[in-house]
Amino acid sequence: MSVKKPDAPGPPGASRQPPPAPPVPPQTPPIKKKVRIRKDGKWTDVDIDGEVRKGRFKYVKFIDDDGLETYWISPE
Amino acid sequence: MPFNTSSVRIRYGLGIIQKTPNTYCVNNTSASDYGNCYNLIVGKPIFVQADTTTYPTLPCESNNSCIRYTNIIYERIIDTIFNYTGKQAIIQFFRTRSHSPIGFIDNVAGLRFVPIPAVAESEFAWFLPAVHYELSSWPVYDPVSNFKAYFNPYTIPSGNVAILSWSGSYFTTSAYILTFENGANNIWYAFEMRVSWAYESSPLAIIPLDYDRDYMPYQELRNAFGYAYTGVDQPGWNADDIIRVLKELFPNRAWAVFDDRQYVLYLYNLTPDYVPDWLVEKLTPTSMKVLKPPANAAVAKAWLDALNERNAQIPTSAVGI
Repeated sequence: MSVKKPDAPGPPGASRQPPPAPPVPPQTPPIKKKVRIRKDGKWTDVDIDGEVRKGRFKYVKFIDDDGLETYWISPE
Repeated sequence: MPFNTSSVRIRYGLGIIQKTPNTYCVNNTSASDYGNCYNLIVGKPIFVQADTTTYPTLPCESNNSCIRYTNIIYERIIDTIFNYTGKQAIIQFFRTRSHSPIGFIDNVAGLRFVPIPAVAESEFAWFLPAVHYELSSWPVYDPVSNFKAYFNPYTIPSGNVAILSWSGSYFTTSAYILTFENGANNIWYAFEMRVSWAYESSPLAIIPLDYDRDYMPYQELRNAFGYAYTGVDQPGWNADDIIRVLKELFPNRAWAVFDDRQYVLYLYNLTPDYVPDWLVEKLTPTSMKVLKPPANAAVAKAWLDALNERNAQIPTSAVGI
């Protein structure tokens, strides 16, 4: 059975190599909340950016197909 | 929804909540406090004094408590309630309370100093009961026209009180606040009124405009949508036209357009943060779309403030007073 020798010290005056940096996790977009809304006569799931309450109603925010920032009425 | 209903409250020195306000001005030229107005509740009363040599400035002008007119006139249009080009509305109700130094003359049909909504050129006789109601017959109730009138139901320190109420239906494209001054000078009047009308559901231009300065000069604007004191009830023929006109004429102001077919509220220089809850409750849009976010928060705030001012909401606790 062989015994691993400890690493030999480097030559005098030489700096030790820094340990490798931990791997950076890949950038992932924040997971958006999915909400089901009634749009164009059918139920559609949309990824929303936020919610706004106006009076009795709640609206969810997302970018619509037309590219406009849109607030759609949402079931409670 | 086939019809929208609008209600506006207009106040020139008087408010609707107070049961017995005592707003008055002094038009006795011998009085030491001539030209002052007192106990104002909301807004400013009107003072007519054509003599600018003797009275270059009235005290109430100096302290910003009245609106002075220096011309003598028989029928004065104080303000425009609505003016729809090519669309009709139905006036359904009005109620006015006015204070003035002079009461009715002859009979209730001589509505001196009482502000009432009048169509176009002072055609207001249709609101009124038969002319045989004399001054001595107060209060007046005419069941045919559903018209009620009260004269001095309470007293004020100086002047008379008149309260009128009418309900019915009258089709018209425009309505104004008109007072019949009969060419008198050195008079004042304070009033408050509520008017409600209905109009066919349409796309709306939601932008508070000054009738004389912002709205009248633009022919294309008048063809695209109507004017209303509320800044909300301004129907047009289609939302795209309204958006195009507003983009061209008011690129730096905040405005909204309501598409009543898709129930979409388009916002320009606005975000939903600036849309008041009462407007959402009134229109119940399915969605709000931001055509352009506000470049300057002050522009959006100005839109909101003007809308709130012209559509003062009655506190829930005050309903029924």
